[in-house]
Amino acid sequence: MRWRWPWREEEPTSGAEKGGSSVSPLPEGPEDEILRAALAEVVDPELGLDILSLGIVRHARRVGAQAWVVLAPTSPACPVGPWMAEEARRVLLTRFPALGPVHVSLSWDPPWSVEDLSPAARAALGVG
Amino acid sequence: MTPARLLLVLGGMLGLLAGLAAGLVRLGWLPPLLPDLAALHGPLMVMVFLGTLIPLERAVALGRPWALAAPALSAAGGLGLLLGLPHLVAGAALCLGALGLVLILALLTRREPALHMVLLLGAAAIIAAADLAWLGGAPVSRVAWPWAAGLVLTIAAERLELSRLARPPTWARTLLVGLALLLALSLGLQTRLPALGQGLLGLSLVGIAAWLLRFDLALRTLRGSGLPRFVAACLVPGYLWLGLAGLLVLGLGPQLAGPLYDAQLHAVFVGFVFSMIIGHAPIVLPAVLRVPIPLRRLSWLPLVLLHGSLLLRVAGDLHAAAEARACGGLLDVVAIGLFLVVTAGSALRARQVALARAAQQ
Repeated sequence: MRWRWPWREEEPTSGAEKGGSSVSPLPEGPEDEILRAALAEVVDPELGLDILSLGIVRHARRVGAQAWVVLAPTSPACPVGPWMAEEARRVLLTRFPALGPVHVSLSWDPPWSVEDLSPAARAALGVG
Repeated sequence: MTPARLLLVLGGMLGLLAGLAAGLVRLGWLPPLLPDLAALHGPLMVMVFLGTLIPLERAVALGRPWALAAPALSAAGGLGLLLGLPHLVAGAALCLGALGLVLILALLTRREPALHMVLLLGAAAIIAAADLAWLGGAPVSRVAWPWAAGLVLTIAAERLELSRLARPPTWARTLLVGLALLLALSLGLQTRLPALGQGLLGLSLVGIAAWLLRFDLALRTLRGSGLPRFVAACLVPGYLWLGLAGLLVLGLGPQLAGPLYDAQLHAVFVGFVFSMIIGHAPIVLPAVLRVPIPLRRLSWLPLVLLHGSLLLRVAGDLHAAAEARACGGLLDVVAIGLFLVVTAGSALRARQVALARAAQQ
């Protein structure tokens, strides 16, 4: 095991998010609906709703064994965003063990908006 | 779990425990364990405990290792205070931590220049200015309201962010900005026109509490279940305490010491701020430490005890009943201690379950 100084933050894992920029750029291509559906296992702890319904999953794509996920958290100031990125990566690698690197990045451009909510999330939250 | 973040959480906890001990000294339950400990109650609770954990939370959100320097400076400053380092040295570290938070929030605001981010940034600037005033020799009674205002605006900004889900009308968002500006203006008038300053302070606190009760999602999620319901159950009584604090400021006028000062301030710091901390710990700590903290039935106990004991304390303050005040204060500390024990117990139990599950696989 490689020694790490205790005050060093964990290095981002292969292709994972660091700041706002993805280590590996999102490839062109269609969205992978199977990956998107699997990401519904990640739940926003404050609202109790999954990140797919909340419109936080912006992209989920696959090329060969590699997957790319872009999440748009509701706020850049909340530490739950990076946690969601790790959870998304963990869920995909658990559900699809044959996947190679899973690149998860966070994006605020354009920022998440209430228009991204699914009808199911609107109904659950009781908002119009 | 990341060791650096755990160390910083422990640094913040040291500030909290020392701050609680200082509170017990002030209430007469403990002898002075360290010189000047009683006078450090406010700085330990705000500048060290919250001054470490809030920048840590934002540093994790920013995702840059250097940002951890801000909470590290606050934790080091707190340790310096307890070790008896010169006021200027320990205080400078605490102020640098607070300024670090301003820098982190400025960078986060650049990521998404939204209204709630600007409010968070303004709130951090108010707290940093109060810290600098304390470093410059201002008494705690002069900086206590700026600290409280900064924390109120921080929480209001976070709730504004979530309230977007309910699409509050434009006038409601404008109203909150107006109330935030009124709160900031009231702080500026505290020394020159104290009566007017306190009047505006009380009005803005009542207004922000009413805004949160009307537009926050908490009243909707209160009807839900699990963690969202628990969070809402922490927030709603907190909003009532904030409104009561505003009414106490309006009704009692400027107070710089004594039971009425105790009632005004602790309605905000314990009733509003700490209730929110109990609600958000199961969300923020797992995100920061990467350790799940599942909600248990026992998690409700500190919350109920916190609000019950605060009622006793404030009633004692308002009726000049020193024993009720002292007992309420002691029970506040018990509630917070219980919250720490339940939280740590939940985390340890979840870790044991995860390890057992991994061993089975």
